[in-house]
Order: sequence, then C-alpha cells, then structure tokens
Amino acid sequence: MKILRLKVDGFGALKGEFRFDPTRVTVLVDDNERGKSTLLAAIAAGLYGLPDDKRSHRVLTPLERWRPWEGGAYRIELEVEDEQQHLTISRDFERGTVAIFNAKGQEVTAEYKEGKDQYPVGKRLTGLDADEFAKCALVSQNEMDGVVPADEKVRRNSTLHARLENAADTRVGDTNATEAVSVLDGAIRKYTCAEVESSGSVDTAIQRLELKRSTLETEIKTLEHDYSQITSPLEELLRIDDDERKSRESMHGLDSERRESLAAEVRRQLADDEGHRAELQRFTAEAETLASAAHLPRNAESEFRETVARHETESRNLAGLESRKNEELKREREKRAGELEGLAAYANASAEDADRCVALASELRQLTEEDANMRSSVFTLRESLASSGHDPERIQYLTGRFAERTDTEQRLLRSHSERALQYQTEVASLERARTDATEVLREIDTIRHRWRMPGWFMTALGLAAALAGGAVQVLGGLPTLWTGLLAGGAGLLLLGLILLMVGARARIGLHNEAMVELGDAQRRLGQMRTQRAENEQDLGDLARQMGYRDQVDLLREWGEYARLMAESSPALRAQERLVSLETRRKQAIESATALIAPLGGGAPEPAELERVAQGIRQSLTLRQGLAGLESGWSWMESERSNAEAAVAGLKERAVRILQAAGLSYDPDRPWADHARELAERVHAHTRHALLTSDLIPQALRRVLPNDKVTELQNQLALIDAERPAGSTGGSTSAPPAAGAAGRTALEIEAQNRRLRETLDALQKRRTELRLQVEEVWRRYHQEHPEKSAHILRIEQALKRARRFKAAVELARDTIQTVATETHRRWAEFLNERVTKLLGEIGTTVEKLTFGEDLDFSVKLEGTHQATRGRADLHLSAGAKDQLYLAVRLGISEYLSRGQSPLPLLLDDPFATSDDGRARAAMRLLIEHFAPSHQIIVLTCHRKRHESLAELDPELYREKVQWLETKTGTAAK
Amino acid sequence: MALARFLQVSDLHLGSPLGWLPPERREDRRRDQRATLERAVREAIERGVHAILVPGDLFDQEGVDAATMAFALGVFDVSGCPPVFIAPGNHDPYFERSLNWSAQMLQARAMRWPAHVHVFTTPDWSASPVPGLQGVRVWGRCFTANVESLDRPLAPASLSGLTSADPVGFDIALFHGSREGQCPPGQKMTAPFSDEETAAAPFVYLAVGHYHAGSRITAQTGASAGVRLAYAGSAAAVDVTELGAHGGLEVRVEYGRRLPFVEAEFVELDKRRVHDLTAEVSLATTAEQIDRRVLKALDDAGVTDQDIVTVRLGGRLAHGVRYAAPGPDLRARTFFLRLELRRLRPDYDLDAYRAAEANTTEERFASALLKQRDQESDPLQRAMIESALYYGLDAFRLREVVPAYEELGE
Repeated sequence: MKILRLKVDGFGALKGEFRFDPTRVTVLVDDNERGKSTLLAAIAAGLYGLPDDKRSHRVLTPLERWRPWEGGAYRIELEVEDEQQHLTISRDFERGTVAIFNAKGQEVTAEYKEGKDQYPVGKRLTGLDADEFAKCALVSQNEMDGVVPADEKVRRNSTLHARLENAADTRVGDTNATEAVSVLDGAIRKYTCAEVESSGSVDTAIQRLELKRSTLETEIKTLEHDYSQITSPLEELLRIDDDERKSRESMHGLDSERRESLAAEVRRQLADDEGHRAELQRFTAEAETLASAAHLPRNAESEFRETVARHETESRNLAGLESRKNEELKREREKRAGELEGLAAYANASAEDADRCVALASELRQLTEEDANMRSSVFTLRESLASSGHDPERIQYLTGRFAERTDTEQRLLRSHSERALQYQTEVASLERARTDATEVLREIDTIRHRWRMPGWFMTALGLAAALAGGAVQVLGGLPTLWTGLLAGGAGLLLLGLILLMVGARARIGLHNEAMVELGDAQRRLGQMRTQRAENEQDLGDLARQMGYRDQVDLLREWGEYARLMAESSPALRAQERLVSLETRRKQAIESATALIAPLGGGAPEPAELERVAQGIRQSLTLRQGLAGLESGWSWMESERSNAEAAVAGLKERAVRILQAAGLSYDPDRPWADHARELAERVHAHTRHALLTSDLIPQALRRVLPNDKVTELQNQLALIDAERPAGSTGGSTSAPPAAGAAGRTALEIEAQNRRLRETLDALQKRRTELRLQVEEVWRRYHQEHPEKSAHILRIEQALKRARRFKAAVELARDTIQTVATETHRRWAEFLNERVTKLLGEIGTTVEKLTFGEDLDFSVKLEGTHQATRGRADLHLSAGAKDQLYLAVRLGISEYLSRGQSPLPLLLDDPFATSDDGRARAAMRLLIEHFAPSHQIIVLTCHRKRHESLAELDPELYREKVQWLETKTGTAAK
Repeated sequence: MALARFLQVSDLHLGSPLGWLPPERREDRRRDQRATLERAVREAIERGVHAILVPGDLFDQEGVDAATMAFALGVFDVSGCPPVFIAPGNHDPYFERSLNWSAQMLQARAMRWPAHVHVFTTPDWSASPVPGLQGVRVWGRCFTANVESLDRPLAPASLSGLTSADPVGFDIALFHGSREGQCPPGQKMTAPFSDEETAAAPFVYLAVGHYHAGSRITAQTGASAGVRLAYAGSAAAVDVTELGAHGGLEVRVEYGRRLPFVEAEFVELDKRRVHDLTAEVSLATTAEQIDRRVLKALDDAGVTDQDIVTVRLGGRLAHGVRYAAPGPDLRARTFFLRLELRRLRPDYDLDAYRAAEANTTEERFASALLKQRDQESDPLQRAMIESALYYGLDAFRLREVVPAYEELGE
C-alpha cells in the first residue's frame, strides 16, 4: 500500500496538504512539537478512523485527543493506492461521516463497512487492524526511550526483550505469554466459591465442595433411613389401638369386683373403730393418776445437776485468784526494766524527735532517687545530641558567637527567612498585577488605534478636498465643483476629527485605572526592593562585623545555632535541675547530723535515721507501760467479789429447783441424794406428757367421727341392698375376669391400677410414636428437599470449579507449548534478518542471536558473544537505537508477511545516532527498504539531514523527497 | 340423549420439592399447586360435573408431608364436591402400606380419605359406577411401585377381564401411561400404549395422565366419536420446561340412542404461564444493558409478573463484560426468571483466528484450541476447550481471568 496524499483541514495542531512520492523516501522536516507525530496519527486515523470508546480510553478518547486546538473543521482526506485500487478516503470526525471514492470517482463507501458504522479501509488494504498497523508501520519517537531504559523497574518491563516477547505473543495487546500464563496461574490460585465461602485456590474449593457434598449425602441418607423406619412405628400404632380397646373392656369387668371389696372394706373400718375407742378410755385413766407431776419443768433434773457442778467449780476458783496476781506482777516488772536499760540513750528524746528523723530519712531517699533519674536523663539527652552529630565543642563555639548578639541583631537574623518568603510572594503578585495592567493598556491602545486610523485618513482626505476646492475656486473653476469639493472636504474633515476624538477617549476610565494600578505596582515593587536592599545591607554589615565572608555564611551558622539551641534545651534544663537537687541534699544531711548527735550519733543516712526514730518510740512505749502496770491488776478485786456472788447465787438456784419440784432442801444431806429424788419425779412427768401429747391424741384421731360411722353404716346398707340387684341385673357390666372370684378389694384395685397403668402406657406410647413419626416425617419433608437442592447446587459448583480448573490449565499448558514454538520461529527469522540489517547499517553489532525465550545476545566487533545485560553496558545510545530500529523493521516484515508491503512511518529514528551510523541507516532505508516499502521519515533535525544529503547528493536527489510538515510544500 | 360431564385433572405432583426454584419462591409455588386443586374442585362444583377424574401423580412421591396430605384429604371434603376417582401413577403408586392411600396407615395418623373419593388399588382394571349416572362406569388401574413399567394397559390381554358395558350407559378408562411416539424429552416411558390399542379399546373415553403437556386422540368410529383419549397435562407447571398455560379438561359425553360423542374443553387452572424466550445481547457493554434487552424481550412476549420464564441469551459480549445473574429490577419483573447463558460468548472473532496465518503466540494458541475443539466429538469437552480458549484470550487481551465461561454450551 502507498500513501499518496494527505489533506488535513483540522487534526490536533496540524493543517495543510501533503503529497507523498511513493517511489522515493519522504523526509518531512519541521521543528519540534509542530505536528510530526500528529501527522502519523492523522494517517492512521485516515485509514482506520478514530475510536471514541470511553471504556478503553477512560481519560481521553482518540477522537477527543485529536480535536483541532483552534476549533473549526475536524476533517482529513487521505489518498492511497495498492496494486488493485486507488482510493480517496474522506473522514469528517466532527460529523462522524466517511466517504470513500475509487479512481473513477465512484463512491465505494459501503464496500468497506464493517460492523455497525466502522470503515477500517486500512484493514482491507493491509490485512492488519489498527493496532497491528500501528505496531508494524509506525515507529514513534518516544518508543526509542524504551529500548533499554535507565530505570531498573522500567527496564524489567520495557526491555527490547519484553517488547519483542509482546510482539511475538500478541498482535494487539501488550501482554506476553509469560504474563498470560501468570494471569492464568493467578486465576487458579484465587478462585472464589460462594457455596463454601472459599477464596483460595481452585483445588481447595474443589476439596471443600467434595467434602460438603459428602456431608450432605450422608445427611440425606440418614434422613432417608429414618424415613424408611417409620413403617414399623405406624404398625405398632395400629397394635396399640387394639390393645387399648382390650384394656378398656377389662376395666369394665373389674368394676363389679370392686363393689364387693368395697363392702368388705366398710365392715373392716367399723370394726377397727370400736377397738380404737376402747384404747382411748385406757389412756385417759392413766393420765389422771399422773396429773400431780404434770407441772414439773422438763429440764429440772439436768438444770439442778448443772447448777450443783458450777457451784463447786466457782468455790475452787475463788481460792486460787490472789496468789496468781502477785506472781504475774513481779515477772512483768523485771522484764520491762531490762528492756529500758538497753534504750538508755533515748531517755531524753521526745516523740517529735522521732518524727523529724523519719521525715529527714524520707527526704534523703527521695532526693537520692530524683538525683539518679536526673543523671540518667542528662546522660540520655547528651547521648542523643551526640548521636545526632552535634559536637559539644561546636555547640559551645556557636553559643559564644550568637548568644551575645544584641536583640536587634538576633531579630534581624531570625526574621530573614520570613522576609525573603514574603518578598517573593508579594513581588510575584505585584508582577502579575503589573503585567495585567500592561495587557489592559495594550488592548486599549489597539482599540484606540482602530478608531484613529480611519480618523486620520478622513481628516487628510477632507483637508485635501478642501484645498482642492479652494484651488478650483481660485482658478475660477466651475462653482458647483469647488462648492462640492469644499463641502465634502469639510464634512470628511469633521468626521475625521470626531473619529480621532472618539479614539482618544475610548475606554478612558479603564485606561486610567490600569495606569493607576501599574503605577501602584511599580511603586510598591520599588519599596520592596529598597527594603530588601536595606536588610541585605544590614546582614552584610553584621556578617563582616562577626568575621564571616558574606551573609550566606552568617545565615548558615545562625541556622545551625538556632537548630542546636532548639535540640539541646532539654539537656540544659536537666543539668540545672541536677544542681538544685544537690543543694537540697546537702541541707538535709546537715539537719540529720545535728539531730542524731545528742542521741548517740551515727551516719546521716536514711536507715540510721529510721533506726533512731524506732528506738525513741520503743523507749517511750516501755516507760508508759511500766507506769500503768499496777493499775492493770485492779480487775482482780472485782473478779474475786464476782466469784463470791456467783457461789452464793448458784446455791440459791439449786434450792429453788428442788422446791419447784415439791422437794425440801436439807443442808446435812449431800447434793447427790437430792438429785436422785428429783430424777424419780421427772420420770412420772415424762409419762404423763407422753399420754397427753401423743397417745391420747393419736387414739382420738383413729376413732372415726360419728358422722363417718353413720355414713359407713349407710354405705354398707346400700352395698348390701345393691348386691342382689347386681347379681341379677348386671347385664351391662362385663363379667369378672377369669380367676377373679374371691379376690380382695386390694387385689382388684391392684388389677385395676395395673390396667390403668397399661392403658396410660399405651396412650403414652401412642403419643410418643405419633410424635416420633410426625417428627421424622416433618424433618424428612422439611430437610430432604432443602438438602437435595443444596447438594444440587454444590454439584453444580463442583462441576463449574472442575471445568474452570480444566479450562484454565488447558489454556495455560497450550500457551506454554505454543509460546516456545512461536518464540523459536521468531528467533530464527530475527537472527537472520536483524543481523543482516545491522550489518547494512554498519553498526558495531556484528551478530545478534535470539534464543527461544526471545532474549538475545550480541556479538560486538572484535569481542565475544555477550549477554543482553553485558551488551547494554557496552552499547551507546545510538547503537541501541539502531538495534531497536533493525529489530523493529524485522518485526514489521515478519508480521506483515503475505500482506501488501506496508509503508513505514519513522519519527526521528536516528536522533541519538552518530552521523556515520545515521548516514548508514538512512542509506539502508533508501536503498533496501524503499523499493519494497514506502518510507516516510519525520525529523526535526533539518541541518543534520541536509548534511547527510550533502554527503550522498546523488542518492538523495534521486530517491528522497523533502517536505515541510507545516505547509506540506517541498522543502528547500 | 343424556350428557355426562367430568373434570379431568392430573399430574399435580403435590409435595414436589421444586428444587428448580429459588428457596424463597418454593413455598409460593406450593401454594399455587394447592390453589390449583382448590380451583379444580370449585370449577367441578360450578360446572356441575358428575365426577372428577385424576389419572395419576396427584402426589409427587410416596409419603408427602403432613400439611400437604392434610390439604389433599380436605380439599375434596367440601359440600357439593362430586365423586372423585383416582388412579395412582408412577410417582404416587398404591401398595398395602402406602402412606398416601392405605386406609389403615392413614388411620394410624388419624386421617382418612372422604367417602366419595374412590382410589383404584389394583394394577388390573377394576370398575366403579358413577353415582347419579345409570350404567356409567369408571374403569381404573393403579401403579404399584415407583418404577418404569412395561405392562401394556390397553393390550387385549390386559383388557380381557373387562365385562361388557351396560347398554344404558358407557365405560370410561382412567389410568397413567405413555402414548408411544409422543413421549416428551425428560419424561419416562411407562405403561405404554399405542394409538391402535386406543382405537380398539372398549372405552368411550380414556382419561390418561403422565405427560405434562396436553394432547388428545380423536376418532369417529369405534366405541365413540370425537375425543377418544386425552392428556390434560400437568394441572400446574411442575418445571420451567412445561411451557404455556396449565389446567384440566372438562370432558362432556353425549350418550343415549346413538354413538356416544365426546368433547373436551381446556380449563385453565394455573394462574402462572411458562415462557421460553430468546434475547440477543450482542455488543452489550454493561450488565444493565443486558438486563434492559431481556426486559424488552419480556415486554415483547407479553410476560406478566406472575409468569415463569426462561430467557436464552445469545450473542457476543464486549470484552471484559461479565454477566452471571439478572439485576434486581429484572428479577422482580417475573415470578421466576431463569437465564440460559449457554450461547453467550465473549466478542472474540474466532473466524479471524481460524482464517489468519498464525504468527503470534496468541494466534497460534487460538488456532491450536480451535483445532482441538473441532476434532473433539464430546460436547462437554468441546465446551471446556472453548472455555479454555476464552480464558487464554482474556489473559492475553484483558490480563484478567475470572470464572465466566462455565455455562458455555452448544
């Protein structure tokens, strides 16, 4: 395919018409940023259109990017031809229209339509889509930087190797097989499966799904098993119905038997009642005989014996009290006198002295602790300063220099940076204001000029007409002529003057404001500069005064001083605090020494002070105890009188107990005789109490009330009256059970109870079975469908996961296999082709060898084969560009094999090559590529290409077309 | 001439787990099934039919849940309900200890069928007279196990025990079986019979269940004229594949002095209809766009919010667009919406890969998998290879691989 003409009515910054000679290499020359790259984009846009898809171009779509900067038409026309056809493609991007005409002028737009509204003419002509065309045909300037970038990270991603791999692996993407495999591996490693809440690898998801399925299957089998088991409970339910019916019939039969036994029971109750009444009479008579002992206290005997025992004990205690008192007093006095001898040194000390000792000990301890902490802090702060690189001598030196400066000088130094910042900020705003005012004045001048030009012109024309009229009059010309000339001249003169006045007064207000603003800005700028100069002068004076070379040195040391002062202030404060603590400690030691000197002396230390205080307090306590020793035994007298009173009281109490039991006290008889008599009286009292509280009430309770006796007698009469009727007319009752004859009421009742229990058990069993059945039923119907649906979902998820795994693994394995083969093919082609191209360029690269991994090694002239990394170090930037160009040309040839030869559009490909290699490369393009490919070289290095042309004048004259990018015209 | 009327309702499948529906919709659909049977009884009373004929699969399985059983026992126990004849089918077969049909087993649970419900309990033909219609008998047979049966119910040997019809009345047949040559996909062939056997059978009308789509056989000669045999189809759709409206048949038999004439009229009982639609979503760039296209397809087909719908999506999605489930608006548009994604493909031009000379790894990868796919005969493997192809192309083009092609099929 050949590009013949490009007409640009508006495309980015580009406008104009460019005619290309396809038989020659076209060199488009222009300055930088004037539209070279835009021209490449315009050619591609003419062939393929401009996408406007926000999804693939989120920031700016190509359609938006190339919209003309100055507005207006957004249109291009491209004329191309290949072996079969000659086409003119017009695209109006503003309207979104396309028109394609063939060589005969017939519109053939519809033939190139693809999809909804796409007209990729380039695809039809070259067999490549837009991305592929860009990769093969366009060599943009910025791509050169990416050959071997300086940055390690970028180099990893953008090396020629990586770019080559991308080119080999995909036509449109910038992904290579390695990355694709990595993406696929990543997908296998991170597979989200909501059914088992797994987001790990697909294998993990599959394992969990299988486990879940197995669990669900087990649960379903359990449900089904339980469900299959309910037939037997249902049959049991049927049996229970039968058993229940039979039990009810048996219970009816027992009713008649119970009636018989009821009569026997009534008779027995009446007989028992008579026996109970006789027993009651016997107990009542015995109670009356024992009535005299009825009022004896229940515990009289034990109380009497206890009182007698206590009386004898108290009498013995009274005798031993006095001798015990004397012995105790003597032993205590001896003990305390011995202790006081050991504390003789503190005999004159008071409790206040002890308190002062303790207070001083506490103060000394606190001071010691604070001192240690403070020393540690000082050490740490000094270490910190030293570790920050501050030399103590330097600190001392700077302090000596700046601390003695006056306040005015220090203020001058401190505020210098703020003043500089303020100056820069204010000057910038004033400069902006001045520029704005100047712009306004310039605009007003332009407007006035527009008024004044016609004014001057009309004034001049009026004067000329008036002069001509005057001349005609003077020469005696036709009156109408000179009158007309004079009138016309006057009119034009007047009009011209009006225009001049209007021009002079146009926007006068705005003009004055701008003038004032300009004046203010300039005045303020002057003031600022003056003030700054004064400050600079002061600083310079101070620097000289302090012996610095200039104010910069002064400000640097001031800055260091200020920073040091800020950082070392905590250490200084800690040092001051340490001195204060030492003073306080000395004062405390002096006080302690003075205090303990009269008390036996000793070291003024906290432990010694506390020992002295303890001795003083112990001495005081002992002296007080000795004084109160005698008074402590006053309790003995009161105790003796108490014991005597207790002995008398106890004897009196024992006598009263005897009297209360109806016995008299004889002082000649021992207490034991009185106790025996009292025991006999107590025994009679107990028997009486037993009769009245237990035996008689129990007998009374056993005796049936008269109403009950009457009722039983009536009941018996009723049963007796029913018996004959029952034996003759009991057709509704079931016959007594076999073997029931002669059973007692209890046995009948027991049988009835057994039947009832059986019935209850049956009903209970029936309820249980029904509940059991219904529960299994309910659970089965509730859970089985849910679990079945769940297992279905799990199986679907499992199927999906397995299929995903199989598909991704297949994709990955296939890519790996195919990539090796592809890379091998590429390597074979490029080894041959690129080495040949490099040889023709004349580069120092003698041979280039690609491996199957598409990495390459280089053999430089006169050296051994070197790896890519080593070659990067040896190759110059120009050599790398040439290498890249050769590889790029090789790629283009490989990718466009079997298609129409592509035009190659090169954007300053030799910017970094030396002249010799640039010349060789251009010769390669002109001599070897131009016959088969149309070559368009865009460059901003006009002189360089002109000098190259001078070196090969014949070649360039015949085979190179020169064009200016800006105009599209032939360059000189 | 006399006129006998019957209402034929079958294949209700009460107690079906309805696993194809989402859990929150299943109870609604179960209520629909119950409402359908209630409506059938009400229609029977209002239309004054002489009997309700249930040719099988009233229940979905042996031993349905207590609530469903209680409903089934109670729904016929209403005033005015005509006699009901039930011939148990392969899903709810009769046997001695059947929890659905056995009087004893029901009694153990304190349940029983109403007296006017007659259940045929033998696999051989047995007759029961229709109260109020002199000489009219319903002959029925039941399934006895939930297995496919190859017994031919209308073979001469099977019909040998039949006694001749009362000249005043006529005989009709009630059974569950498969008409040969008409078995729809997904249904089992059981108790088969042919059209010839139907024509030769001595019944005026054969009420048959099993197939969930309605169909009928007409005849002008033989035991009667008009409709000779009819499937009413499932009274309420039991699956998303049972398209159209669902209900029962009102069967009218004119009999007397000439050849009985039978006609059957469809009675719609299920309030929901089942649709199967397709929607083209090619080049949709967002999931919302796809939803909108499906909504348009629903509107075009006149789908209501009560309906059950399958929409088969087709076409090619733009690169990077993922679509797995409908959005909330679309979900709320119908009672149940099932999206079929088997024919949805990403927008890769496979023909171009196939046609172009493969130079790059991507092209050669695509070409290799396309070749492998073409050589594969197993549809599942073909689909998996196609998925692999798309995943590989996604890795090259999008640098992103997420599970998206597991539903692909042919």
